[in-house]
Amino acid sequence: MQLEVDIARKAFTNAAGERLDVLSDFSFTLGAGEVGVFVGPSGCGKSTMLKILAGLDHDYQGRVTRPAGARIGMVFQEPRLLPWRSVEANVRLAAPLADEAKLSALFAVLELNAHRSHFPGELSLGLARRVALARAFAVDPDFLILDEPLASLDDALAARLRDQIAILVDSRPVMTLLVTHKWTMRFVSATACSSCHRDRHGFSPT
Amino acid sequence: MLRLLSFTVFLATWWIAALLIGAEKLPPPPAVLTAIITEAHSGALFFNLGVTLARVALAFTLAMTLGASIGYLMGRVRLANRIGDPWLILLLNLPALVVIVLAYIWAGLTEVAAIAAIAINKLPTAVVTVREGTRALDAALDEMATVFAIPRWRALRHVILPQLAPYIAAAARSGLSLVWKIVLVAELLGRSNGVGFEIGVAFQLFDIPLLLAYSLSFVAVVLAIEIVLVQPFEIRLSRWRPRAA
Repeated sequence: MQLEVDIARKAFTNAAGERLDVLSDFSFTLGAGEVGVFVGPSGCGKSTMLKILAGLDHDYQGRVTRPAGARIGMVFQEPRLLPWRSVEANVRLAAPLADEAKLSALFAVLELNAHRSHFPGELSLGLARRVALARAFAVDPDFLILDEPLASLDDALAARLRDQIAILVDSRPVMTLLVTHKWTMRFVSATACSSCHRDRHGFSPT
Repeated sequence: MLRLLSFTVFLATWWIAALLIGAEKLPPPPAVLTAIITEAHSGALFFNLGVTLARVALAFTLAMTLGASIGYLMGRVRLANRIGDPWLILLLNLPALVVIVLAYIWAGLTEVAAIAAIAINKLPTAVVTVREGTRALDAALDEMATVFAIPRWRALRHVILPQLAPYIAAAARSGLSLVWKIVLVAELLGRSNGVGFEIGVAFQLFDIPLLLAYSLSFVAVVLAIEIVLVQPFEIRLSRWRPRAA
């Protein structure tokens, strides 16, 4: 189980017709149980890269090899919940095979038990982010992608969530990719680290 | 209570107007009620209402199913939109009467022709509304469904359809009122039963109580369906919204 990434070039064409290089000569590998962390200023292409790795964007030069049949669990920058489904129904839509005991444990860790039957419109942003985390973990992912899961949360809540994420990541043999704009994550098992900076060539590992 | 009051005001206005104008042009409520009872007694009222309702149901279902499918396709696929758009503009602006007359000429004075003509009249508005809804679909939720590998039909049912629901409800609402109006014209022109046909007969015989008897019964059925079916359906669709307008 290994993720191999070798992106030669990724460019956007903006509305004015100009081509803008976002990523160039970017490569790394990630194995099971490893956590890759990407740190960089906003706008340096971190989310673009996650989109490519998640298989949402195929318009790039290079090669990305994901393990065949790997289940992906992803936390987007926004919670991306379905407003017409309750918290539990949102999680169950992504993970129809998850059994009750597992979901209960997950909701307990993320302190969501009281909110199972609430609709996303009734949740605060912090709660909605936790639901998005629950959804990503409920699918039993082989490949976990977390795009700034703690953005826009206050420090105390972010610290609690960080610990919860660490517990969950440590308890499963998953490949984890994490994007953050602040280097505040502490993961015991973080073995692969990259950071990016904005330069003339766009996004590149340092 | 308020509804009862407004109904009473309606009856009173009618009665006073009937007294002023004269019973031969505007019969008072009791005369119309007698006509309704006579028609109900012979069974003709229920038969004709039933026939009309069946035509409405068939044409409406056909137009909504086809219209929603085509609208979704045109909202999703650029090519489909470019091919379909001129047809859509043509159908949107074609008078209902033209469609009905042509359908009867080409397909004969048949049930198929009547239902097809009604459905074709309703189809373009459903297409336009659902196309707008499809264009407004949230790409972020599509990405979520793709990443979590939610099977296509499940995503359609649980991610796409709920987003389209307000648009489909709007298309159904405006479409139903359109169908109510057109079905009578189609019946008048080419069917030998139904409310539209009976109104045509009453018009030719100048039997105004009969004309009003059928018109009012028809309006009552439309109102009943609106209150019993359409409104609860709309409330159910929007129950997840914190404040439904």
